[in-house]
Amino acid sequence: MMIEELIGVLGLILSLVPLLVLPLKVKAGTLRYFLLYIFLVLYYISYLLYYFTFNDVYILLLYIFEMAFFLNMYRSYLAKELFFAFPFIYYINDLALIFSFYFATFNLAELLKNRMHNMNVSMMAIISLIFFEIGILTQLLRIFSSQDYFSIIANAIFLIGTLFFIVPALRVVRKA
Amino acid sequence: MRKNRSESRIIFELLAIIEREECTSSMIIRRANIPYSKFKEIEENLLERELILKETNGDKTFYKITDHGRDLLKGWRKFKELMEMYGFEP
Repeated sequence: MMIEELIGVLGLILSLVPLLVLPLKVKAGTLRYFLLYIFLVLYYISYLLYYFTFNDVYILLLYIFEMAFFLNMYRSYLAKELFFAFPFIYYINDLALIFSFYFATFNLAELLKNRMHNMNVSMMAIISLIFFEIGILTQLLRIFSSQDYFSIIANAIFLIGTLFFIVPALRVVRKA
Repeated sequence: MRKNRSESRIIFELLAIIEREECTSSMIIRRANIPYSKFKEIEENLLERELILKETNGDKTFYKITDHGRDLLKGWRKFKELMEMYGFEP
């Protein structure tokens, strides 16, 4: 199995875990909880579809789902910024990545602020966002330096972020 | 400035109040800090979904949580804990 394939398969399995183990337990607020993970699942599905077909539509979807994932986390900006972003993203993937970076950065700042105010923010969520940020930055640099829209290094860093991201969900399951 | 509570948060706060002890409507309104009209709206919804029961004792009406309501509240607490870990306010 190639490294890219392994990253995609592992990412899909990891991102599916919270959706498979939690819904029956967390009856209330299912939709909001579902939104938190579903974009990550869609991201990895697009990743694998792109890897196997090399069809440009899937790389476009990959970037859009990546952006939607961070956008959902920083949802106070959802309406107005998504409205602006979508028509452009249809033509330029780089823009979706820049928006991803923007949403992830603000979300990270928000989490750190909440953590400092002694709220119950998980350290794992913060670490995962740091890895996601590094992954996005690496991907941006790869695009600017060599027009590489599917960097193994960036995807591997993103996978580490995914691993940390699902830990809070597993903690809730363990306590149940 | 204090943020407004979401509708679902008010509902679960109300359920939590009733779970702690049997309450009259005025006790619930005072503890949940909601207007009477809002209470009536939520009460109707909760009774319809069989999450709470209404019992009359003399001239007083008490509210009790059902097993289904308790289950839902348990699920909500887990959801709340999960959302807070990601920095969300449910």
